Amino acid sequence: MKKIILYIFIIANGISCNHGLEPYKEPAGFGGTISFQHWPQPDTLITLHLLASQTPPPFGTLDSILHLYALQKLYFIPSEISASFPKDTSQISYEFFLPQGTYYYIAVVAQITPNYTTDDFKVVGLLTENTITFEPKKLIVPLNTFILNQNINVDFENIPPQPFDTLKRRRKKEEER
Amino acid sequence: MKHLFLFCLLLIALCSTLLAQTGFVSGSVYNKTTKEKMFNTSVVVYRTTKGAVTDTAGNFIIRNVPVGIHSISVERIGFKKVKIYDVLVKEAETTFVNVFLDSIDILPERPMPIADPLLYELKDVIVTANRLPQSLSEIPVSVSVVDAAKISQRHAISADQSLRYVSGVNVSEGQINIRGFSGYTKGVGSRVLLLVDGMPLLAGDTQEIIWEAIPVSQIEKIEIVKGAGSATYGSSALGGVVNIITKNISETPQTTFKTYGGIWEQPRYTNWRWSSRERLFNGVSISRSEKLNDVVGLFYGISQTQDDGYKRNDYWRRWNIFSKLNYTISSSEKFVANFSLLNQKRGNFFYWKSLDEALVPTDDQLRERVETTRMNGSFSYNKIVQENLSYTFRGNFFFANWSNIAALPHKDSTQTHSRSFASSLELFYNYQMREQSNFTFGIEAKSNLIRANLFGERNSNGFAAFVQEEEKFSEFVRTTIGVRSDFSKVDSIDGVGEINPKAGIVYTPNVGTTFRASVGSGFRAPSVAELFIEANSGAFVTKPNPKLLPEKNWSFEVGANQMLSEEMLFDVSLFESEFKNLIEPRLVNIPNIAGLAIRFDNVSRARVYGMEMSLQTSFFENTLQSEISFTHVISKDGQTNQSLKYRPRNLFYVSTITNIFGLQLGADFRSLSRVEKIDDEFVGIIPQGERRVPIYVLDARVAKEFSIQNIFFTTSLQANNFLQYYYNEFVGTIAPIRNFVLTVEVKM
Repeated sequence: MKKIILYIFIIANGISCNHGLEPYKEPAGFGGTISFQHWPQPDTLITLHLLASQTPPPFGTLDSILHLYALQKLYFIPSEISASFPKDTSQISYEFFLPQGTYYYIAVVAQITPNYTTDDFKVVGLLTENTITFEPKKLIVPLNTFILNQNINVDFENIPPQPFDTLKRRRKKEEER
Repeated sequence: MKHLFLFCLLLIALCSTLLAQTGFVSGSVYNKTTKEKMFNTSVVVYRTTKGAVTDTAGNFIIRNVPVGIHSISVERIGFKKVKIYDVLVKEAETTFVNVFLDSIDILPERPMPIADPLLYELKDVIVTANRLPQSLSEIPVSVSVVDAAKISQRHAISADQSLRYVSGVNVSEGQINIRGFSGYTKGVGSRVLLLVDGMPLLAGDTQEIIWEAIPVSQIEKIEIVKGAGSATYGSSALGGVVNIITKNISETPQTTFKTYGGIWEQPRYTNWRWSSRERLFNGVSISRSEKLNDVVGLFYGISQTQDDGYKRNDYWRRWNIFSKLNYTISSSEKFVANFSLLNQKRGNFFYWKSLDEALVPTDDQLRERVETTRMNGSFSYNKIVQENLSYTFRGNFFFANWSNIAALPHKDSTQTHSRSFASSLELFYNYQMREQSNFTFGIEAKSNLIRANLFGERNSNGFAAFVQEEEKFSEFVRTTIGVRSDFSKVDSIDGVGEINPKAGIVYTPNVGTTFRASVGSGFRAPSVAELFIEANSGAFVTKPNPKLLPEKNWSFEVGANQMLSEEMLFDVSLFESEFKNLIEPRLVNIPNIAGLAIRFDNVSRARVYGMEMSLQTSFFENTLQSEISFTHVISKDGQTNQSLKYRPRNLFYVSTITNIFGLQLGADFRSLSRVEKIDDEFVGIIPQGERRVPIYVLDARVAKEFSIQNIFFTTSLQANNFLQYYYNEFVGTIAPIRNFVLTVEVKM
């Protein structure tokens, strides 16, 4: 009997440290494939990023992409896409984990200089409803949901309209006036 | 496991050889007031497993009583228990004892008796296994008993809660699963038959058990018969039978008032805290039992209970009205009628939004509420035609009306509703052909009317005839054989006939030793819900399948029961059940439907087998009592060879109760292994639906009894799920979290 009581005590003591099920937040996000066509010369491209914005473009007059990130909820994929593949690859799979919400602009962005201003980035591929007009696809990412088959086509010789209101562009506009 | 069983047999055989010299105890039991002999009265030799039940003439004989001086305990529901001391038994001689029983209510019964729990099951009169009053040592199948004291001690709000610590039984979200035979059937088609006073009580449309329709305060005891019981009771009994015996009428007026209040503790994880205010539950009930005159007795009561719910939209408010009429027409004729009414309003929590918000349902469920009215009535007329012949004519009805209402922005919209009326009539005879032989035979008719937008307008009917014989071949061997034929027809579907036999043997070589073996078949006719359900509720599209066939099984059991000492009672059994045409929901492609739909199908053959052991102990003159049980269940799908759904492999229960310093302290612990297989269909729909853990639950309580001028008070404080352990019994829903309950009961 003493052994039984001891056994029960040991079990109870062990269980008291274990509370069973715990909250679990499954990462929300989306994924799919990115197809590439007409790769440019290697020295004209530093890296590629994935971008998702909860506000539609244009993205204002900010000149720092980091600042843009903070204010306009732009999310970049943590690691560079190009780091893990040769630049002549034709297709890669991707997964993009981010908070739930509605995303109005999802794009593949090429960084063309080592700096981090909007002038140093160029959108080269877009998640679109229509590949001809480059109309951005609005994507709703629910809580704890990962959306598959969000495929993006990147054609370096046919890039989408640029969403950034860059310094150069502003200066050019001012000069034209 | 074979070695373990052999070891147990050897152990029992060894104990048996230690006991050899025996004699007989014989006599009659009389009503002290009327001086008439009393049948169905339990007579037990104290501290042994030997006992008997008086026959229709009020006589008994107990064989194989060890030589020596004994105490005899005599008990019958509604009468004061009598204990006779210093009964001398001599070798091969018969000692005659005549007993006079007085009504139990000269003084109010003590509310929470805990005396003699070790022998309770042995001396108790079991009526479910063979439609006969029998002692446990005479029954060839495993039977467990939960008495009113255990129900009261654990503060069971609904009857199923009091079954959570029964050996070999686990209750998941209100569905009972005996030895892994049932699994979880999602509210349709219970594989365990529920009886109330011997009459079936399953919802007409879904054939599920509605526990809340049975007022807990009306329960005298619950008998759980393990193994297929269709040879005795027909459909739905393939996984076992639960019989709820209602309280008898007190000989003297007795009023019982009970109230309780409780609180759900806030979950330890802030993500799960969805309510800023405390979630409470409480209830009050009052009942009275009295004899209006020498022949008419009444029991009636009302209760109101409510629960805010620890999960969002999981609240309920409930009213129960219940009554029982007992009319003793003559010394050989008795009429009993029961009636109960349930009105309930509750929210609807089907599954969680996510494990990160585990106590909150999805938004569409938040709009839903369910309103229910259920009425249950029954009658029973029993007549002793002659000394060795009696018959019982009884019937019941179960009316159920429920609506699932989804609130729309500007008005209420009834989404789904169902109205069903199930009724049955039964006539059976008990005939004692000679002293060694009992013969039972009878017929039964059932009817079921359903009007529901989920299932359509459906009718079903069924007829059955059954016969069984119990034979005592010698002082040591008793056998039971029986067969039942059922015919049922649902709506326009072709009728189905079923024949279910059973056989059992009990061998009692010595005092305190019983071996048993039994075999029986069972079946469950598909419910109207499984045949005809057509629903489209949010994520789930459900389609009918009128081609469903009945589920069938054969179950086998061998077991032994041994009194190891005056303080220890050991029971072991090996069991197996082979299933055919199991009905399970599954995702199927159906023409004209985009995507998949859920449909009930006959999916597989299956095998469930295992072992159950229990040890009851009673030390220090019954001041420390405990029960430990372990059940090991292996289930295999015949096609995939995987485990069946919702069958925990190991069940380990410990219950203990003691009296110290005038306080009654009790604790129950249960450990169930992690369910290996669940519904993949739901996992794809419910976020984190695959998440599940083993179950470890500790319930603890302290109670105090006292009396003031013949008014008996009982107060108790309980902590349920004391370790604050979070687990789920079904996909996507957290089982009850830690809660504290204060109960006060007054009997006068």
